[in-house]
Amino acid sequence: MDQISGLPEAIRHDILARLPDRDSARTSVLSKAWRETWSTFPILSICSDEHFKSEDVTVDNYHSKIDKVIDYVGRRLLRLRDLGLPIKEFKLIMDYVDHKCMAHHVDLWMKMAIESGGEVLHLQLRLPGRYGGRHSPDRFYDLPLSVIESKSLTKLVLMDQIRVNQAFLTHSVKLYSDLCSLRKFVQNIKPQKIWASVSLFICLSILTEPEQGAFQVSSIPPTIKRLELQFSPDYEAFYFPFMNYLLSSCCPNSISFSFRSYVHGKAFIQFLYETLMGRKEGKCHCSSSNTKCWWHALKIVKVICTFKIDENADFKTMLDALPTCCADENIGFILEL
Amino acid sequence: MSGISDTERMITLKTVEGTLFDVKSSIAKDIKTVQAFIDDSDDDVTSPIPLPNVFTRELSRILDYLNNHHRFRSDIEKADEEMARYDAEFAKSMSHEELKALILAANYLNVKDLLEFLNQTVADVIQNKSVEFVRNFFGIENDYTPEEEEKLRNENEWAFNGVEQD
Repeated sequence: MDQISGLPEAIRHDILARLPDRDSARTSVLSKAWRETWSTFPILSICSDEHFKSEDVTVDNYHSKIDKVIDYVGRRLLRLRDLGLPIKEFKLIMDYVDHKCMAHHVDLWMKMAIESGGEVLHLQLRLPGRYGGRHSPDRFYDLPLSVIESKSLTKLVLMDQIRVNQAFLTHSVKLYSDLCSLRKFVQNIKPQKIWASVSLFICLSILTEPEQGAFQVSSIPPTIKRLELQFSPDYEAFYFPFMNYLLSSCCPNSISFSFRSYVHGKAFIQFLYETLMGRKEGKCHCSSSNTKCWWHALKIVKVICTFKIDENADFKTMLDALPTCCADENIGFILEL
Repeated sequence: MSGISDTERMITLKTVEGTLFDVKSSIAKDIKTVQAFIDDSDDDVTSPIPLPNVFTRELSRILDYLNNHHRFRSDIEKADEEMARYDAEFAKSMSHEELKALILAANYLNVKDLLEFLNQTVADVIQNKSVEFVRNFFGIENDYTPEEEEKLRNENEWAFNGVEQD
């Protein structure tokens, strides 16, 4: 036995987990032992741009390119199912998704992942504009209810053209959502009362094209349990649009921050605090309309932090005490209407 | 009892060859297999803990790694930089055979950080490299017939585009 093939399977799987999918797929050609290791590897991370370059896609070759990917994903999932192994993580990032020919495949894959006891599901389906009108009247993938109902799922990431039509029931779901689709996403979920148990995680923001009408809210958006920001805008000019967008999409009971670094984040946290406390004159949409933004009616904004500090310390002192580089400590707000 | 509290308790480990190593209990905590042994013992462990799967060469390297990492961590200022430099040297100094022996030892002793680091070292070798390179590098014997290999390559054709052929 050579030096590396004799390692226990768990270790070889851990090595594969550290590689992009194409590199791990190539290990299946090394030897029969490595093929065995690869085909029992319970983490699938499929990214269509590893399979084809988007600039090579034309209207004519689109189907043959996507069919190969569909074939590949199906083969790997079936193999795991036949062996009775769980599909622990399933990450699917697809460009150029034609929902008419694709949705039933994705449905089936989701079903297989969930039924096998899948823990992590990351679904990102994109459809560039120029293909939009031609191929797909329905630009959204409807997430099957089974995903939401799954008991084994610990992390669900949904990005881009995905929506949830059916009830979220009473599960507490963590959603990692791309900001641009947040609003649409929140509105698509019915009944809206289920949001009360949901925590939203905002891990990145691409606020390039705010949706039409995003800043014109007439009623209070759905209440959610917690909003956790893992990202803050870089420039002060974006503070207000970013906050406005978030708070006009959902009404969180608490807001917390978990930035990798608070070096720049502190200024944003302070901005948010002052705005919520009504100390900042903003360019709110409500300044030009009769309806007031819900956050102007806040009764109490309570600051909480994970580190020890004198209970009577004011906000500024707490913010100063927050380490700039340690992600273990954080600060947050509890909002009471 | 109270007299020894200011000097750290030492634990003795015994390798396959019978070599004894004295280890600070704070270091032993990172060696989960050893720590579990200590936790399971009713009395204070005074006699050497036998490690029937670990050879002297590997244990000495593992302890070296842990001691250095402990030292780096105590100096927050430069920790990341020095640790990265040390890790890079550590990875470079190993032969493939040593790398494998060390992975097996770290796995048996359940030293999580080190095992992750070693696995990453293997992954770094494989990434972007051709099948032939990886076979040569680790001495993996190709047990496919040419036809079988051809078929597999065709099935996974996408994974072979733009790979370094070195």
